[in-house]
Amino acid sequence: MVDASSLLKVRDITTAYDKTQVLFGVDLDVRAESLTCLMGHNGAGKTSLMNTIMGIMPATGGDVQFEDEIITGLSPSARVKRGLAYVPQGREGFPHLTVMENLEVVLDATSHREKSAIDDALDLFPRLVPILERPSGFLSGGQKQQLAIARALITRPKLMVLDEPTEGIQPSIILEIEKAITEINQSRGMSILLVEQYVEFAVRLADNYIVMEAGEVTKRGQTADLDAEAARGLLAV
Amino acid sequence: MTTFFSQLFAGLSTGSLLLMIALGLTFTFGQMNVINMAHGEFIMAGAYTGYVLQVTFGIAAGAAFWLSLPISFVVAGAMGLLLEIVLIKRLYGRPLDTLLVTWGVALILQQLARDIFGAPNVQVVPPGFLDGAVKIGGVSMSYTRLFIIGLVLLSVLAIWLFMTKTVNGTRMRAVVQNRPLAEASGISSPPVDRRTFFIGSGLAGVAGVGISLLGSIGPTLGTAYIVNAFLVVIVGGLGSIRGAVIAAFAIGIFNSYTEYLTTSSLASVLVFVAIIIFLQFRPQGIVVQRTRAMA
Repeated sequence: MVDASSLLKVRDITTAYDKTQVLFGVDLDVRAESLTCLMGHNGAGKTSLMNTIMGIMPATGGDVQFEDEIITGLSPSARVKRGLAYVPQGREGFPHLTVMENLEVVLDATSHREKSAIDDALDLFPRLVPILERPSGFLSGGQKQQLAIARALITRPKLMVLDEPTEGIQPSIILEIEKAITEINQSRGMSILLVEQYVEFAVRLADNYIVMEAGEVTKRGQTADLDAEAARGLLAV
Repeated sequence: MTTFFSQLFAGLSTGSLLLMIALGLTFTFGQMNVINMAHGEFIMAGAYTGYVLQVTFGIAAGAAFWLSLPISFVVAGAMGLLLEIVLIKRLYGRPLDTLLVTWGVALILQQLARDIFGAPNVQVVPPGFLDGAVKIGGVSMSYTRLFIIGLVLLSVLAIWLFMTKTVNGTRMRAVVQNRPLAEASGISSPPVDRRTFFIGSGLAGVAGVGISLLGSIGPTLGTAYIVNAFLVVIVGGLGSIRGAVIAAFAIGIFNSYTEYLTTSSLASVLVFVAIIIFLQFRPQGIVVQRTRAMA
């Protein structure tokens, strides 16, 4: 399962909150242009793994490699410069900045600084266009999630990490987000690592899946090999 | 009626002075949560910068005074920047250590000022155009006090424009509102921290020039103002410039009227009591800035 041609390689990663270990030697690969889905129950360590991949939480052991460069010791912003992007859980944003400022402030920090990146992101989420001047703290959950993905797109990443983008969002917006993720992955050729508890959604979108339990990977494979029943069984206790 | 207005003017004057010294702290304490006890010494450094320029260029030169505003900003800002790079950045997330270390730095800076300028106070002579007062409706307003009010309002306006209209300011706000997300969006936070500290400390320097217009200055100038400056920031709401403006003028005006009705020392006590009561009901201050963190 360990693939030499992977864009992102996570090798035997461990991490802890203070002294409580939450990841116990996780391996993970994301191939270029693939869509990999990470599943698991609450508390399985999915978000900790994402935070460790992004450098928000320090790894206590193991390595994270991106394009064959070891990035384990780099700051989150240095990882973003190398082509990683993060859409964190909980629709985080800069609440007192307007939608446009949210996008501009990220664009300003990129090395390309091409204004067309903002247009490209807004093409994908036309709902944001009429509310560009609104403080982003006042947006609905769906709008915040779309803004979060748009913000991550501004950096023109090679790999986008999305942590539960559909959590607590109404079904019609979920469809729009699903469409946008597919578009980003297939038309724009961007690799995606998606954390998702909603199995149907994950299996529909992903090429590969990984299941975590209690800080370890317990199952992995290709979604094409799963029938409906096997898919449902992935998260069975 | 005249008394009412003259007390109002006194209150506005006190408030503007409070705001002036607190403005820099809204950056370093309010936005970055750094308890910098040496902030008062940056005020002192700004005041002495004005003094040095005056001694160098001569009292008659009004130019020396105008120059002292930007130069004291840069001098105090550079001291703050140095402090951030050498000490404070190693102590983020350790408020007690930061407090003790910066207090030590404050003592060093006071002694340094004593060694360079001598222990006795020195006098910065206000430029000629600030001599005298204007009388409106029986209320006498000295030009120096009016100048300080104007200087504060101009500083607030400049900061507001910088924070809302420039991309550097937007970046600072982004880092304050959600530091982990800013980092995870590619915004490197150490340069932003350095810039924030430079501006916050620089504003203390400008405040020092303003204060030097009101009386003599000495090595312990800063200690007289530091507590009040922290109070203004806390009452205003951490990191909020709007809150600091409201808090400074509210405290200044309240102080002025109670001082008129009672005595000066009782007024100070009453101001503290009022602040304690206020914080019981509104511990986050006048303007609440909600921020969120990811990890």
